[in-house]
Amino acid sequence: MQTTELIWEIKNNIEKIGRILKVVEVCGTHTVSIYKNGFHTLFEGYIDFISGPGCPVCVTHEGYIDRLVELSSEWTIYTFGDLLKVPGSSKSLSQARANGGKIKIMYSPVDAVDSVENDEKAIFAAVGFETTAPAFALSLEKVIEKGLKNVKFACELKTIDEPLKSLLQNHIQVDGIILPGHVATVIGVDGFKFVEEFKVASVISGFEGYDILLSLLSITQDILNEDFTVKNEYKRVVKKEGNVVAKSYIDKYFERTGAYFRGLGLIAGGGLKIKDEFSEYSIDISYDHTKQKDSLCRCADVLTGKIKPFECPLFEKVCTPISPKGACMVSQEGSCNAYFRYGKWKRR
Amino acid sequence: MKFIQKEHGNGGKQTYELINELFKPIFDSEILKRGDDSSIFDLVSKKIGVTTDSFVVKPYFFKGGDIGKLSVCGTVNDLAVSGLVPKYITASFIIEEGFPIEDLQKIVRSMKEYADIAGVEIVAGDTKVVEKGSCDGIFINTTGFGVCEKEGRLPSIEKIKGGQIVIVSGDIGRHGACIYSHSSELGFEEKIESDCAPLNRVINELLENVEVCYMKDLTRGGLATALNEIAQKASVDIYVEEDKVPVSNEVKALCDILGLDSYYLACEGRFVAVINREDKQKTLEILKKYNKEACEIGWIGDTKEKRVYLKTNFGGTRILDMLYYEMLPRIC
Repeated sequence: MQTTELIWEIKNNIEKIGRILKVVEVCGTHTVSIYKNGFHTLFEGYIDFISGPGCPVCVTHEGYIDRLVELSSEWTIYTFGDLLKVPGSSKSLSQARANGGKIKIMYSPVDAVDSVENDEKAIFAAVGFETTAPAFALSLEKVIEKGLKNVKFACELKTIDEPLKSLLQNHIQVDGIILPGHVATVIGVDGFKFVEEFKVASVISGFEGYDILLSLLSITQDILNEDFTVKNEYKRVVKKEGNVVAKSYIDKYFERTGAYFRGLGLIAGGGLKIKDEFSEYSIDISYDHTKQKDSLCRCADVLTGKIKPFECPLFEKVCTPISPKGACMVSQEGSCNAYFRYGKWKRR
Repeated sequence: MKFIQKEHGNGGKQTYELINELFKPIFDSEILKRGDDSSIFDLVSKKIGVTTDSFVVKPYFFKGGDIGKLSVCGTVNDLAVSGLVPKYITASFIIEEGFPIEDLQKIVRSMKEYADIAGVEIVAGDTKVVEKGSCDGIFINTTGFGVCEKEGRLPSIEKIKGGQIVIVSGDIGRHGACIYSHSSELGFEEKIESDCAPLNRVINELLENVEVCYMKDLTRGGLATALNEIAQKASVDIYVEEDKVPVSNEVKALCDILGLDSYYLACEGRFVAVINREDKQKTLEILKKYNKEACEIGWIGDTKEKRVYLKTNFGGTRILDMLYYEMLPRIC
């Protein structure tokens, strides 16, 4: 189908439905794609896009950053680059590094094992959803095989199902969900079957503009047909059962635990921890999640669709990508960041 | 193989030999050969322009050029887009101890080659050698002098107004993508050639035939940053049509893999020009002789929010903002 026909069809369906649709996109990469392709203007008056809690940087608690900052005086922290600028209660990892903290950027947790020096005490900051969990499982396996006793994992991995349930149960009412294609690559269509009980149109989507349009078409058709089975637009990558090997690695090394999500709070079963039998490779990074720095930052409300980024009093005034005050502005996939870079003029 | 040693920068015999045996024969300038503390030359013009730039690109050899070519083209282009005819440049080198002399020769020869192509003479220079670890291989500073041959034809920001059109002189993002491909080790090194080139000939022909309202070369920050600077300085809004902006398939592929945005990738041989709509055909005729990808990409709007808007391929509109992140370690 031609793009223009596709857009016409989506709008036509929404007119038949007869209201502005609330559609939540769970993954930050979708948020960026929506703004980058200008869909927030193209579907103005038709679709209200809400960014969900699927960006691992955005949902990370400042207590985790604080613990890593503390540990960086004694240990070398290996982290993905996007965690560097997330504000802790006093400083970010980037500021800690400037003050002499030992912090190294890694691209692959598996390759990073080879970079650890014999006399170095290393902590791998394990963050992310099911998409990155298999890489940390492989990394842990490599550490065990090499017999390294100087590498520990600060595990803050998360799962997508429990927070999504919490979001739909307690926070927002939506007409449609664009489900994260990357996580679905691992957990499969089966991993999202739980969404069906919420009677909401849902579709696993790829990340190109055309993918998003096809997904929006699917959502509008499903609403019209009252069909609430999970659809898979990203068939070229996502299988029904997901990636069986990757899932087996997650199951081998990790088990479910409670996890904190900014905006959603503590969610039972929302995280992954290293299994007790491998606990010698885990470092305790527990923090008090009820303790929060006083701030006007409203990332939590943005992540649960209560407000739009520009409704936060800090947005654009003191919180910008250069000087972020909240996690949603730090991550290039955060909704505040995407809104700032691609769409901030819309509020005028 | 011979290497640069600390003594090459001590101002003594070895410095003297380096200058006389390497730089002077290659640059081959009568003014430079005099070896005086200052170079004296004629510039017959009421208006003279000067610009300076430092080059720290890594790697210093890349597909389509090297730091020497870049240091000449960068300065020549800054003069050219200002409407000046580049005449003379100076070159200052900061070299790390242990740098291969063979590489230095290649770089200096490349400077001479592109100075000749651009029609400029290298008339003064300096060499410093620093301890191992104090700089990364080689850094070059060039300063350029250009003359205004016809005052009326100087582009200026005040000439920009609503309804004019925006032209780009070729496909964007090649230099940034080339440097990025070298550092990412993805095997793209052989695919993407830098666009590094002197622009003064094409610009001179353009200025002789068309009234160019404003020009800007696309360097760090790429097309998006250049357009934002124009929007800010001229207090106008600029509209760009995504499907018209020329980007090669190789650059697109690299951007897709690494999550980069081609609008922010550096160019070193491209410029944007703002012209009156009636001059479009003539402008494109001239530009296409030098690069067939040259085309109209957008227009100056009548509103004055100082923003750049992108009309996306899907028919939506979004902001095309300035670069907020360091995309590349060292690109020029």
